[in-house]
Amino acid sequence: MNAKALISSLATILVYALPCLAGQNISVTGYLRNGTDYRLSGATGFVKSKYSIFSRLNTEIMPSLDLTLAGNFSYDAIFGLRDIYPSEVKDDQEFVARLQDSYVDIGLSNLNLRIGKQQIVWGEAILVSIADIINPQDLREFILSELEERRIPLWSIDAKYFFSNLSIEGVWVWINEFNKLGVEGSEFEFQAFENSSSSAILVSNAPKKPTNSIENSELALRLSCYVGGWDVNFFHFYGFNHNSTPYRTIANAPEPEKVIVTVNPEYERSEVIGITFAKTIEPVVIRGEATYTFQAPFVTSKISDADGIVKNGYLNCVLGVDCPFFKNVEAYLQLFQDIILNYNDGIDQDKTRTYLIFLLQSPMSGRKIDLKCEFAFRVENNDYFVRPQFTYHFSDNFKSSLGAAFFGGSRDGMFGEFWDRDRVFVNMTLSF
Amino acid sequence: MKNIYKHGISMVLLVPVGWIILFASTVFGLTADEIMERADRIRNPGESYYVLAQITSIRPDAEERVEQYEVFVKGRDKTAVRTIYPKMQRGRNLLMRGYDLWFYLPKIRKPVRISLQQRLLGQVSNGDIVRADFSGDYKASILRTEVIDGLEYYVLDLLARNRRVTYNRIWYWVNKNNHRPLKAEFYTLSDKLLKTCHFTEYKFIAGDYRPVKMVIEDNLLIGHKSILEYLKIERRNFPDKIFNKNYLDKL
Repeated sequence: MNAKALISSLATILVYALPCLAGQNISVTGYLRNGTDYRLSGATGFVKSKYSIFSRLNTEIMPSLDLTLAGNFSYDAIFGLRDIYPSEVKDDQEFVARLQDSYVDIGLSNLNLRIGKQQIVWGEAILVSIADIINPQDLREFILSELEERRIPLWSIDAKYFFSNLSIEGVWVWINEFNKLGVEGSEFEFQAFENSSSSAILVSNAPKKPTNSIENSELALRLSCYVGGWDVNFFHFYGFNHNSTPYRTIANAPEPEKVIVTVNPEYERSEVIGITFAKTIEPVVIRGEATYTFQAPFVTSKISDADGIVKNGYLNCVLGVDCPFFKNVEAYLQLFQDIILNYNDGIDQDKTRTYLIFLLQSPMSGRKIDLKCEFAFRVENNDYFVRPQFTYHFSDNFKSSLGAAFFGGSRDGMFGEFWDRDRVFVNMTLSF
Repeated sequence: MKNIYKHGISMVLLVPVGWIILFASTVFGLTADEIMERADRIRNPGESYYVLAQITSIRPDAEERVEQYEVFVKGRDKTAVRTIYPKMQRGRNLLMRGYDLWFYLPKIRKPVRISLQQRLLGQVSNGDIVRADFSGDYKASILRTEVIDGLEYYVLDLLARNRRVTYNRIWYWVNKNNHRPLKAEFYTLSDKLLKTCHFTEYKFIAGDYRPVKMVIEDNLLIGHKSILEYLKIERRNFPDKIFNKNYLDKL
């Protein structure tokens, strides 16, 4: 554990200790969880046995001033039980402690300020939201972890001013954080920079991060309206791309007929505008999101390109429908598409990618059993992900889930990349 | 002079018309819609108020389940509901504006638009909590009068004004003298009896005698019932911001 993790751990312990020290006016909620995964493809066997504790404390310090402190701590016992990962993965994932949403809420008439480490969620879509652009994500378990564990809270100020059918929101993020990816050799390590030629020697440098300063802070603005039964939101984000841009240089190697490809990843500014909407047309709810990124970076395979990156306009859109049917079943269907504008052939990513995302679930009706199945499928190349899940509620605060996750399709696809990571899993959660 | 004369004539004409209307409503009674409105005002204080509600769900095959909600009402079309108990459900707040609903899901930190069909949970639906008034949503007519335990009741037939309300038809028993509701029967589109609600335990709260306990029986599932209790009712004014979906996480 490094110093940062140690500080986070101490903060987390403080979160748990405070309820014991404080009086009655404190609400503490959270959960204890064990998640165990058994890999079915590739090198089969147990690949995860993670124990997590999450706790959230909320108290009213005085009228119109609330304090929230949350933290989580996890220990993955698999690193002690099996020797299947390099030591770097063990250092990165065996013990994880993080200060989660921890902020003060200040209410001043129609103005609300939230100051601290927080999640800012602007999307309308249920499954894949492209409008949630402010918080980076912890993708060390890809998309298999819960969204609440995946989203990384940011130190920021969120100011909302409310009118009757309108609200204006401004966000200032003063400490930048970026997507957390699995290190080399981890269960969900993303494909490294692709070396298309065997005559190239690849040198990968650590990503260059911007220093935390006023100039490097992030700003976002949102206008939300409720007009004629429609929720419509417009936003603008001036921040950083949560993924690094892999700039590369090519130089001749000392060995004959070989070149050295040096990758110098860099976190860069990103400017995004977007719109979201939702409307109920009984009995269905339609939701939509669209974002446009100015000068988004794309990797190009053209050797002639000086730095291996081209920058183009990038359009993302999501259209979704929630449809309850029969008495106890809800279906969520989403169409996701991204388009690179002014596309040229050298760009590695396809000009258009279209995914169909589907979720079928029994509703939260207090029944003992919940059935859920998620399915995502790329129309152009059959890239897919399926996750059926069965949950049994032993009591109001204790549940157990049994499920499986399957990845398939194109090897360079978002899901097909993990074709040998199919698994069954059991999660047990005790809430408090 | 001509104007004054005209004005005087109007006044002379208006006074008797007013008396006639007053006389007629006394002699011929209130309209069905007015009776329904008066019964609504007995169930809750109207305009802007706060309710602390407890729902006990009883099923023959399961343990008794208790839930508590704080309900903030402003006018006829703005209601926000905060979950108090069970503790684990805290943060799952609900907002209704007109017929539009949002449900805040703390797990994903966002208010999610839901359809009216999705609000129906248990014997007491979210619709029952967020929309306590019948007037506005239903058109009333008087079916008949009935004598129950020596007291005379109107039996009102309430027909949904549109398809977006929770129930298609309601039969509503209202005391003829004091307009206190006694019971209501809720029917589906196919006129199948869905639930029966008994308004009991009248207490003097917020300026009137109001029923603080409603026993709601499921007529389709034998033995299934819910008890909706108003633990507190207060007249209160609320700022508009609490009825904004972006405020649901702070409610």
